[in-house]
Amino acid sequence: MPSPAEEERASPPALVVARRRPRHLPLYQRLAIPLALMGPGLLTGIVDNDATGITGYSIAGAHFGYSMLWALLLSAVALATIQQTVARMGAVTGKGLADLIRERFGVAISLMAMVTLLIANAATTVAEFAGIAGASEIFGISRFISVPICALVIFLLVAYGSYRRVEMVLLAVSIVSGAYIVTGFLAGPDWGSVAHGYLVPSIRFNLPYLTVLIGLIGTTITPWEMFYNQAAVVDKGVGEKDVKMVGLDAYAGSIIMAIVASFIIITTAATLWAHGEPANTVDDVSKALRPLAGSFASELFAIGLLNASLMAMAVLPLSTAYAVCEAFGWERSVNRGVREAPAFFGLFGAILVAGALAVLVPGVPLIFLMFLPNVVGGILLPVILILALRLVNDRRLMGQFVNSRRQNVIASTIVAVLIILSTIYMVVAILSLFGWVQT
Amino acid sequence: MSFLSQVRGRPVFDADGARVGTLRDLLITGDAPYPPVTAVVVGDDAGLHAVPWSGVASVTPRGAALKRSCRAASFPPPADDVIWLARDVLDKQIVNTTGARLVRVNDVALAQLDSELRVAGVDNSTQGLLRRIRLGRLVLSRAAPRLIDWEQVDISPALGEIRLRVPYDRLQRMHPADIAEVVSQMSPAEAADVLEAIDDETAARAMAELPEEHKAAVLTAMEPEEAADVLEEMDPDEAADVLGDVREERAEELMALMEPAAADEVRNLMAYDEDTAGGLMNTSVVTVPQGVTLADAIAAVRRASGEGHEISQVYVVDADDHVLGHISLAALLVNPPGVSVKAVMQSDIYTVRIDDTDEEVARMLVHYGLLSVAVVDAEDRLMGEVTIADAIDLFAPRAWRTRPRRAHA
Repeated sequence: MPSPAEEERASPPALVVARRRPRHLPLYQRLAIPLALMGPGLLTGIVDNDATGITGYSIAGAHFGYSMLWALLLSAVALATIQQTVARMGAVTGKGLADLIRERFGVAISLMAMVTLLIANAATTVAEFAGIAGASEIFGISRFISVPICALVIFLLVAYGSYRRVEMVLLAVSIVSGAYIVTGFLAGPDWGSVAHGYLVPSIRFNLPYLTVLIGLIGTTITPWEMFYNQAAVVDKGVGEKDVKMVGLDAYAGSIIMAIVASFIIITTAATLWAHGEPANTVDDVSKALRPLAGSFASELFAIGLLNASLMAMAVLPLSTAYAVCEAFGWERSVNRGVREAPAFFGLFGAILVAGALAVLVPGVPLIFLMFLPNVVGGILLPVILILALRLVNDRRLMGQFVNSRRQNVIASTIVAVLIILSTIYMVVAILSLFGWVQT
Repeated sequence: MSFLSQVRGRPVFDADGARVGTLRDLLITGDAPYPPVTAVVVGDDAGLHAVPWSGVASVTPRGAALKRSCRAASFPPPADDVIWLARDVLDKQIVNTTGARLVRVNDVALAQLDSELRVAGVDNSTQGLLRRIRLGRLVLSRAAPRLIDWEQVDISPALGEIRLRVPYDRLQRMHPADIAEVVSQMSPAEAADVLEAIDDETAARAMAELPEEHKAAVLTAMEPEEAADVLEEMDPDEAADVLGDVREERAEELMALMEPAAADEVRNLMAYDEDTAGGLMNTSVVTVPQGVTLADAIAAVRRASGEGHEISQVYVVDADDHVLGHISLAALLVNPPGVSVKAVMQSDIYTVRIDDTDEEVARMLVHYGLLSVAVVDAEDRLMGEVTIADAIDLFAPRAWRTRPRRAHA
């Protein structure tokens, strides 16, 4: 019979294995899960209704009633196709759009594309600052206080990498854009005219109409959305097997965008346009929400505008700086110091500072600043679209995931329409400049 | 010395000075040091031809000349699976192994050596960028641009389909922490390609060093089998951390592909919150009962180590897994193997509770200057240990840690 010591010795030394214990997630983490699952396409669709979007759709509704809804519908279809295309490119190649443009087309074309992106995004950044200025002034806070503070806060949030949580809060607050849907019903629009507006395209060849039409397309489909959506898909590490998923996500984002945008047009048409009220200032445009909020319409509008502006501010300057540095191979990361990544922080800071300063020029009309990028973007968009189309049809790059004929037809149509519209626009603009046509 | 951008697109002449086409690209084979150009891709109306170097008299910025009796049109189109300098390397991102940096190739430097044209290095300077848009002369300094020596770069990340010919040789020789540095500058898909290509152990060590937010995306982008192999090589607590951040179906899929024992260990660890002692700890701890000798303890260490666990000490426990003491590896080595573990064990044992916060664990390690602490459950039973390496991220200065490479998305 073995001694106790021997018995103990005979038992083999064991590796401890931990016992299972349930994992309790804190409440805030459980709440954050649905938001975290939200894909880049959905997020882009929500951020699409930024200061430029609210302004662009409000002006379309206030000046031309329901007559541009058809253009919104077609733009939304085009947006869905384009967003699905860039998401697919991101999933299949694992590379950003700026990266692909540089690798496929070289330095000269990259330079052109990046200058285009920089102009469009800088103009949009100005617009978001204008949105912040307009919203804060409704609350009686001078833009000379609110704009610099917001610029500083955005810079710090990005530099310290903690803005993702803030982004989640902003996304949650973006539910206030639902106010337009409620108001749209309360305002009692003429639904027959709404249906007519969706189904019967109409076009007028005068400068105001063409400006607003290009602006409407330009705010719905923007270069930054393409770069941003593709980069966000790439960062998730999804692959070819997820092409369908990221596509659905892009469609979902476009549908949300289209619903909110539709109701902005319908609401402003049923209020401002129907009563012949002006839409020349931020305050004018905010009055569209009166059927819902009564005398608090301006305040409700201001909250929505501020939130939309901040949401776009959090992604725009950063993704611009990122894309440009990606194209030219410059150090790019918020975790590098300013000294290590001078181009990245220089671009990022310059866009912020220039955007803020533009809004602080005395007497500058905010509505103009918020509308301008739509037209600029609409005219510049074909440059990026054509490059993206060539990339997505490159079989060496995309393999079996090249564009289908239907996708190419839709994308080529939007390119053609934008080029034709821009050309007509330029011609009409020059003619009216010399007083040769009536505007 | 000339540059690829200066010779590409230039006319190609035959020996009589007649123009026969345009220089489109240069072909090299990847594995030679400072690889010589093996063929010149000439484009004419009929398409592309790969004219072997033996038929080329010269390649200069003024144009290329073919030797007498060499007819460009008689050569076949270039093969797809060789390296085309302009198509596959120019404008792509490659690894500068000395700086652990991902760099964009703005131009490729070529050097004429005897009768051969060889690739000398990579230009990623601003001067190189300007040269590409024909503004090279604008640069104030006439000094030659700083080139990265060809022998210091790994072009594999740029090669995609044909990379099998150059399997990340130079990158693989870098320190895993430097590989992580490079990989963290890539997109998740590109990073996944690198980690799949290098050996599993190096990949596991590099993966562990990646920024937190990047890990899950890279793991998602990897082929499931490759990802499972890398996870097996990782420390179980680190593997559990990464798996905790990926989608649940994906995590289950990967654990199903891992060896059952390793998967179980990881699965158990995943039950703990990431920011508690349970989330930090390693469960592969060697324990021995108090009656055994040092020889038994050494055998236990050998066995655990042979299974790939990193062992720093041996814990002496009673029948209920209560810790009685610990023995360092040094004590195991210097004492006679016949001695009882009870005689050499240190009984001053530092423990933390499994649900203590990670900060408390880190404070304890720092305050007492410990290399590790034992982790016990509510009944004081040993569950694992946290080493200083597991906790180092918690007290290293914030600036030393890498934050997400891309802040958007």
